[in-house]
Amino acid sequence: MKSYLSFAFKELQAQKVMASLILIAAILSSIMTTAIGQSLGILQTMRTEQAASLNGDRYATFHQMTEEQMLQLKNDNRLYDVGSLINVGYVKLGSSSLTLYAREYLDNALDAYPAINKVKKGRLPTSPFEIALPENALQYLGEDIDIGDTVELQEEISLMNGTLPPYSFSAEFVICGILESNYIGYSTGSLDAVLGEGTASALLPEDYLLYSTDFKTKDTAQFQNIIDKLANEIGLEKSNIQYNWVLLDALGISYEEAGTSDMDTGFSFMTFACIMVGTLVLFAAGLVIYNILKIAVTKRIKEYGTLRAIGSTRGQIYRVVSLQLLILCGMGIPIGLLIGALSAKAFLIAATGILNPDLFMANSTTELNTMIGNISSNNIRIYIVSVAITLLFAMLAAFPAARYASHVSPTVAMSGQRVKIKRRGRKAKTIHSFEAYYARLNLKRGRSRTAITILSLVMSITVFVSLQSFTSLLDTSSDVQDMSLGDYLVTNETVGIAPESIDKIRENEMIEDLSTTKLSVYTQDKNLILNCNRGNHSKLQA
Amino acid sequence: MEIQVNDISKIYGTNESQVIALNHVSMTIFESDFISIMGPSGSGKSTLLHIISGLDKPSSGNVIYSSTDIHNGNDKKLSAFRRQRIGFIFQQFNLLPVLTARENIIMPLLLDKKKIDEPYLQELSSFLGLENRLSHLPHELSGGQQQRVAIARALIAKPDIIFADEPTGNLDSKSGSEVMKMLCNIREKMNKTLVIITHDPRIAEMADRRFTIIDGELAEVSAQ
Ligand SMILES: Nc1ncnc2c1ncn2[C@@H]1O[C@H](COP(=O)(O)OP(=O)(O)OP(=O)(O)O)[C@@H](O)[C@H]1O
Ligand SMILES: [Mg+2]
Repeated sequence: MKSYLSFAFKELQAQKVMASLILIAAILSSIMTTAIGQSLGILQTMRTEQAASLNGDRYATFHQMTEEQMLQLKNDNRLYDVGSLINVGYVKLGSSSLTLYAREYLDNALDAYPAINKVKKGRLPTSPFEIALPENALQYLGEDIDIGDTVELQEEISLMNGTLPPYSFSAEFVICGILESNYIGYSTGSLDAVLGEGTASALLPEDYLLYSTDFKTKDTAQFQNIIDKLANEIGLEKSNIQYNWVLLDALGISYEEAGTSDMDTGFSFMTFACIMVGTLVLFAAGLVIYNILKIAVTKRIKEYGTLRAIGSTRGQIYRVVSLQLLILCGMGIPIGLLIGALSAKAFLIAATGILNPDLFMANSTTELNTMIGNISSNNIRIYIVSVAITLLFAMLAAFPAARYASHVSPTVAMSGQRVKIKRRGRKAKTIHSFEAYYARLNLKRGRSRTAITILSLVMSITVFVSLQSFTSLLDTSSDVQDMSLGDYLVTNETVGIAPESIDKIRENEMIEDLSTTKLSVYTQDKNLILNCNRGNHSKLQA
Repeated sequence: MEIQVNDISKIYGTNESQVIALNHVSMTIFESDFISIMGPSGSGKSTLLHIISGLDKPSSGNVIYSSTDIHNGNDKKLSAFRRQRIGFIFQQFNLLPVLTARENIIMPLLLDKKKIDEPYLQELSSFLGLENRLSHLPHELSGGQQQRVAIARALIAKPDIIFADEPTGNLDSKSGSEVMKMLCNIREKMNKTLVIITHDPRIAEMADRRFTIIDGELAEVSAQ
């Protein structure tokens, strides 16, 4: 034995039950903090990845720029991942409500759009008049068209500021690749086609050849400032700035038009739930540690009294007791970290499984689980924070016991084991049942211990009740489900759906719920006069 | 080193439950004195020992070692004082059950972060007949052996004075007198001051100076 501190280790070895109970508490709480820390990390990563795949991996886009303005952005050192594209034109796809946008991406600009750039077959265009089309656009462009075929598109392009009339043209393109379709297209009504570089300059008059440039700012704290300065420097109107609010919200970057996005619901709910469950578990573990350590110290109080008598300082006793807990934490926390890290994904999958995958912008629970599975979440910071939080709680829980031991009077060592009982007005009563009398006396005498036991009971009930209400909260996710598009969506933009037809549908036994939207579509004709088409849009729930 | 005990009183409790454990006690302990204190149960022997040895504070009066009032310092100072200057021997031995005999003996040095004087430890253990028992745990030792380990622990830091509260109280008469004999021998050999509380008149008689205490009042039995 080299130091008095070894005493702590030997004490632990002699009290295996106490040691293992505290060890379990330490393991459980560190599992919890790690799993929750990891889950929060995964949720955040998922949110950002989702945001990026939904709306592109960029912070903002400047639209309707000349080549000169575009180059200015490209060479600005406050920005990175700068990519530019040219809107070549758009085509209405047959009788559907979908519009196909054909764009030419310069250099690696397409990389910022993971939703568009997945090639299913063939390859991305490399030379002028080559086109890659999303799979779901093919059916509208002709029967059985495939790679190598030529399609003729009747395109139209208009300027945002309306200084020039829309420009129409027709051109033939060679299909070089088929892109994976994404569900986002259906919800926004737009599909994206990619054109080979050089197409735009061959097709469009100079006035219509305008660039859109995506970028990220190096300094995210100064994001809005940089945007404002840039727009000012290159002389771009505010209306031509588009913020990628989905990603900005996910990353917590503040910008001018900040608002709360819908996609927050699932993520913030899970975050809240994780933190709540974690706090409760930490409290429960803390109480366990507090209680067990206090009992253990009380049982061995004479040893601490002896140590005090032979000259240990209060600090040394304090260290001996805390060290016992630290040793157990040192053993328990790594185990907890490991289990927590391994189970975090399973934990999250189980928890999110109860929710509608829509909340996480996934098509199905399976897709959501794959998404969770794919995220590498080995963030060192999470581990450090988990360890710190677990240790903090453990040390707080150990404090009363350590203090109790270090403040014991050394005379305890001399006199036999003496339990100090505070005098309270005790009335003489006739004792009817000795057992009951003695039990009551014992409860009264260890008032703080009794209080702790009651508190532990209350805690476990709280955990139970809160988990219950947690699950009922999860049930409300079905309300959110109702908010999403119905099972079937019937649209007819050109003539609308007659009220009689709607009534007929409603009367159908198979229809559970029906909602209708009236919409007006305004289009600008060549003379810049707005025309209004009324349509009717119905949602059905079977 | 001389110890001055000046007009010490100790009062426990308040009002009806008030107990005067020590009533204006004064005494002087000279260097290498061998003092015994006798008295009926509850007369205040232990209380007096606690106060002289700095385990407890008096209600009034003071205890002066050479020229320092031991109760007039912070807890750190008092702990260091107990660690370095005082050895304790308890009625219930009070060995730490998880530590071996050797570890128990060297504990005061460990607490003081001092190096272990191995030859001295050897000398002590051979003197107390513990050479073959050093790696044993307390529960593997007899009562007499445990008390001998406790004696070694009380001496390891080379204190000036040893306090023993009924050191033979938990031993049968044979091992009790064995332990007493060793204690007396060591005291003489190492020239330590020894203050011993006992119920046993034969032990009390071994002392150079004998005190009795009755109802918290101390009196020295004049030498015959
Ligand atoms: N912590 C305490 N609180 C209240 N009274 C106490 C306390 N400690 C001791 N007393 C009282 O002080 C008196 C002296 O006690 P002390 O322990 O000094 O007796 P003692 O002479 O050592 O007796 P014994 O021979 O039985 O050990 C007793 O009446 C006892 O009841
Ligand atoms: Mg006593």
